[in-house]
Amino acid sequence: MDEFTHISNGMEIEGNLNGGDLPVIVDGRFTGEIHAEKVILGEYGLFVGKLFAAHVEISGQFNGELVCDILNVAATGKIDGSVKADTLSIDLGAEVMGSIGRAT
Amino acid sequence: MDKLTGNKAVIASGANFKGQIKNTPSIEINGTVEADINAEKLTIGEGGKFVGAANVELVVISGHYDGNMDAGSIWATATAEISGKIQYKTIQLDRGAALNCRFIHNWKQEKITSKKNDDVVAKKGSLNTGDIDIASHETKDKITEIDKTNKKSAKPKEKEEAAGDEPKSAMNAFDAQGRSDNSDFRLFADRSKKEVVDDKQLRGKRLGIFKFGSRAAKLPDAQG
Repeated sequence: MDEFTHISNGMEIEGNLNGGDLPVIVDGRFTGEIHAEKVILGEYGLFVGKLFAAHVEISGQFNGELVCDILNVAATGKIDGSVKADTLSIDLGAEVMGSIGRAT
Repeated sequence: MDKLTGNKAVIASGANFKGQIKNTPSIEINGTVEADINAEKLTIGEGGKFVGAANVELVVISGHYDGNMDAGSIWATATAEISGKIQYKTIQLDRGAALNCRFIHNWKQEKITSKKNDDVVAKKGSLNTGDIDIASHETKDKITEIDKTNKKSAKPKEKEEAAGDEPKSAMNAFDAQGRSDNSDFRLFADRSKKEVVDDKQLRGKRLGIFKFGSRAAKLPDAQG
């Protein structure tokens, strides 16, 4: 992980982000849409909107629509919305509300 | 994770962002960004492209920038390509930096603001004078009213003091008016009667003319 896109803590972003091949780390607030290869939502991160990625790791608050191949929800993760994932893991303590289904 | 990332916002190479960015103390752009940024430090890396307004204290440009920038200090490296309008306080350009833009040093803006302030002050001043004018009109009206009241109050006094000393009472009335009006004018008027005549006589003596003028002119008519 030499290079990545980072939305830092305290930062507020609104819009459309295409992460390319490099991972996207969200520690701040993001409102909008992300298309990326890998997305990590940090412990204090807040995401509102649509997220499309191959690999997703959620430790913060996620509201909206999530479509991915591999999803890992950490113990501090909270999801409110619809999730579509091929491979899914939810750690003990995580809160997931909404619908869960397969992406394909 | 925080140790790894720090508290620096980064848009990685290959990434593409379009929207709004707020509350960024420091941001590095290696990808493509279309946004308005208000930050302390902005770095546009080599291969990075940023389009939009920026209000930043310290800017390092190694990539492409287009838009209106208001910056404290700018460092444009050899690979920089800048277009648009740049307002700056200090700038450093490396050999090879490509500039196709308008540069404005910030002191001009300060001048404009100071002018605006002057205008405001002038407007305020004019308003104040206007107020004073209105006030003075009011005071004049008040003075005239006071005069009227003085006259009214003076007339019964005349009747009370009555018959014997009419000129005195008239003078008292005059005094009352004079003081309430403007006493400076009255002093000037008092001076006029005697002293002006004396002045004329003095002038005549200086010129060597004695009782010339109107009397002398009348003499031939009387003779004829």
